[in-house]
Amino acid sequence: MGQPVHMTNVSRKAATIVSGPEPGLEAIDRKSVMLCVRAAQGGDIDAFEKLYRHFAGLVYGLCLRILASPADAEDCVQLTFTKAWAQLERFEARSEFGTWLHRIAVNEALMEKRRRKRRFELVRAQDEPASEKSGTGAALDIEAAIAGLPMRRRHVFVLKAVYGYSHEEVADLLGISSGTARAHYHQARQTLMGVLDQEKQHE
Amino acid sequence: MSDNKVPRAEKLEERVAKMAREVMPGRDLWPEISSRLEPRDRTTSASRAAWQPRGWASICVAAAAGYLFATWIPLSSMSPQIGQQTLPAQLRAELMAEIQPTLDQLPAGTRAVVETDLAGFELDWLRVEEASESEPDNPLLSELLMSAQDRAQSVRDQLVRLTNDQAEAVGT
Repeated sequence: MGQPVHMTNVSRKAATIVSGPEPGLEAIDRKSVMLCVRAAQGGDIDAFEKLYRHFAGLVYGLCLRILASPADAEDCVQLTFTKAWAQLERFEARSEFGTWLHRIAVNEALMEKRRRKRRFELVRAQDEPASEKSGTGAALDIEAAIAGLPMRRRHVFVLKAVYGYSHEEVADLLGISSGTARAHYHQARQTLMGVLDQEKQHE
Repeated sequence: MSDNKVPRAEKLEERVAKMAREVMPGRDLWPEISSRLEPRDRTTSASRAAWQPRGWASICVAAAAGYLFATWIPLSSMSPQIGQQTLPAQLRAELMAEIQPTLDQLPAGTRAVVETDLAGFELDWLRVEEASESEPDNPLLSELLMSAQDRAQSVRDQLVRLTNDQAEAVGT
């Protein structure tokens, strides 16, 4: 897993990624994670805070890229960890804790999308192909290009390409068929390669 | 290789590979999260965890005891002390009277198998009692009870099959 970064102000057109120290982020190994999980299952909030500190970046990164909105991503992280706490007794060591959190986060992100239909105009704008939105001549950040993908293609691409889930896992997480996931992934790649071509032409 | 010669797909993959999987939020979200967490009662969880083996053991004891009462047979020829220790003589006699006719109808070989199984069950039962008396919190207790219950289930299945066989034989 790469170094975490801070992304404080991300928009579709200009993603600001600032590498920096990770305050509070504790490097703990898998065994320590499981010990924290066990303690948290017993009601230890301090142990749960350690889990939050360790996994916040992983969860926020996914929420941000799925929702393409820092404010929504923050809400999603809060809901994810609140729900994780409530459902912690159901977690079994068969799966990775981070993967379990991701599953909750994806569910919350998708629900967040439904809850915020009042933002119809924004969503519709995001669903327009990125290539049509990037004719400014400015070099386009890959984060912004991904954020500009149509919603479903973005979800699939982020989970598959950025977080390394298989097509089957992506399909399972999003509640779609693996064939549909593959199709969205292919279309997302085509769109992004087109964006990169445009970027090269402007250089 | 110049940038122009890099295939489009590879270029995309390179860019994506450089993306950080972890992105820290711009502010600390923990205070808001912790304020939303419902306190989980440690004692509840702890006592629940401690209760489960005891509760399970109690269920096993009840099940085994129920079966024992229902299937008690005289084992005095095999281990006379067992019956005296585990059940009052009067109750044992009543149960014997109830079961004896069925046992009498069984073929000698089958009856020997059933009695052997029941004797094994009796021994398991005794071990459980001993473990309970000497080490009330013995973690092996539940295993012994499970073993006893398995034996009881096996014997019960045999009796059911025998009863069915007999019914069929009478019918024909």
